[in-house]
Amino acid sequence: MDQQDRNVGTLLVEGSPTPTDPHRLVVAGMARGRALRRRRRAGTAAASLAVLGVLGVGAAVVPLIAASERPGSTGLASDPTSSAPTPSAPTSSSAPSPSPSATPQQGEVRIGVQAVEVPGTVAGIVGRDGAGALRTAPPYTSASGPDTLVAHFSWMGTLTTVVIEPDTGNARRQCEQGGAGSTCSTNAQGDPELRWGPTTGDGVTAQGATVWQQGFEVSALSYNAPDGKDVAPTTAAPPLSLDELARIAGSGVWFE
Amino acid sequence: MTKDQEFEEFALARIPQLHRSAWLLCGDVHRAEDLVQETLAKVYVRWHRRLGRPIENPAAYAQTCLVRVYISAQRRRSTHERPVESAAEQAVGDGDTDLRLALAGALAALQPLDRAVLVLRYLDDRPVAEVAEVLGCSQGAVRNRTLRALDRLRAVFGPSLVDLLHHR
Repeated sequence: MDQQDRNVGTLLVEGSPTPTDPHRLVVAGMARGRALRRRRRAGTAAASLAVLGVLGVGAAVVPLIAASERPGSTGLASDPTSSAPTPSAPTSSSAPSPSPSATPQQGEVRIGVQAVEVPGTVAGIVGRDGAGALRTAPPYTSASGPDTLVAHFSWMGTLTTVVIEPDTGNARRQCEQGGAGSTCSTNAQGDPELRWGPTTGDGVTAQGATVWQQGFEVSALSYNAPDGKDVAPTTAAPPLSLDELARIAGSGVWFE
Repeated sequence: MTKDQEFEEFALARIPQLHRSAWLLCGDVHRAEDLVQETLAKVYVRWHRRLGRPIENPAAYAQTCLVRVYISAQRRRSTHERPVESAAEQAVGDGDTDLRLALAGALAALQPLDRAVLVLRYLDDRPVAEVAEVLGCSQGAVRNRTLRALDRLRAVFGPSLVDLLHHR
C-alpha cells in the first residue's frame, strides 16, 4: 500500500460517522436474523436445505428401515448434524467463530418422535384431521434424531413445518427480540412462547409459533400455499391458527 | 457461551467498521443503519446454520455480505424508485462535519459500484482480484472504477487527497 492508498483510507475512516448506539443496531440485526431464520426453516431457502435434504434422507429413511428390522428398537435416526464440520477460527482476533451447538447429554430429554410421525401427531394435538403426507422430495426432505427434528408435510394441501432444535440459550431474550410482527409471552407451562405473523413474502402468507421448552426450541409454521414461495395460495389464510401452532410448539408429546 | 452470545460479541466488535462501510456506500445514516441490520441478519442466519461449511472468516464474510446487500438494494431501487430532491443529512454529532459533508458530496457523484470499489479497496484493504470476485466483474473493470473514483475524490480534496486532512 503506497502513501496515496493510505491517504484514501484515512480520508474514508475520518470522514465517516460512527454509530450512535451500536448495541441497538446489533439487537435489531439479530431480531431480523431470527425472523429470517424462522422463514427459512419452512423450506423457502432451498440452498440451505439442500444440504439438510441429503443428510436428512439418510437420517430419516435408513434408520426407519433398520428399525423395522429390529424388534424393540426405537427407530430413532442418528443425529443428522453429527457430520457437520467444526467451524474454524476466524482470522480476525476480534471475531469469535461460531461453535457447534450442544447436543443433549445422557439422561437428558430427547426427541421421541420421528419425522414420519409428525403429521399424525399434529392432528392429535389440534384435535382435527387435515394431515397429508410427509414431504420427502428436496428441498423439503425431513430429518429425525435425538436432538433435531425437521418435518415438512401437507395440512389441508398447504405446507406445514415442525422444527425442533436444541435451545441455543437465552430463550427469553430470543423470544422478546422476535422482531416486527411477533409477540412474546409465557405459556401455561411457564415457557417462553413466540407467535409471529401472518406475514406475506414471495406471494405466500405464513405464520408460526416457537416455544422454548425442555432445552429445545420447538417451532411450528403454517402456510396458505402448497410451497413456501412463488406459488398460488390455496387458502385465504394459513389453515393452522396461531393458537393451534402454539399448542403444537408447546406440546410435551415431542419428547421422551 | 451460546451461539447467540458469540454472535452478539462478534457483531458488537464489527459494528463500527460495518457502519462506516455502509455509510460510505449509501451516504445516509439511516440507510446505513438499515443496511447494517440487514447484513447482520444474513450473517446471523449463516452463523446459526447447523449444517454446511462454517464461516472461515466472519469479519470478511460480513463485509462482503454488506457490499452485496447494498448492490442488490441499489438494483431494486433503480428499478422501482424515482429520485427526489435529496434532503440534507442531519449532523450526527461526532467527528468533523465539514469533512463528512465534503466526502458525502464527492461520493454522491459516484456510481454504486465505484463506491463499492472504494470501500473494498481502501477501507477493507482488499486486493484487486478479491474486489473483482466480490463484485462479479473483471480486474480491469475494478481498476477503471478505482481510477474514476479517485479522480472524483482528488477533484474535491486536492491532488494528494491530504489537503483537507492537513487543514483539520
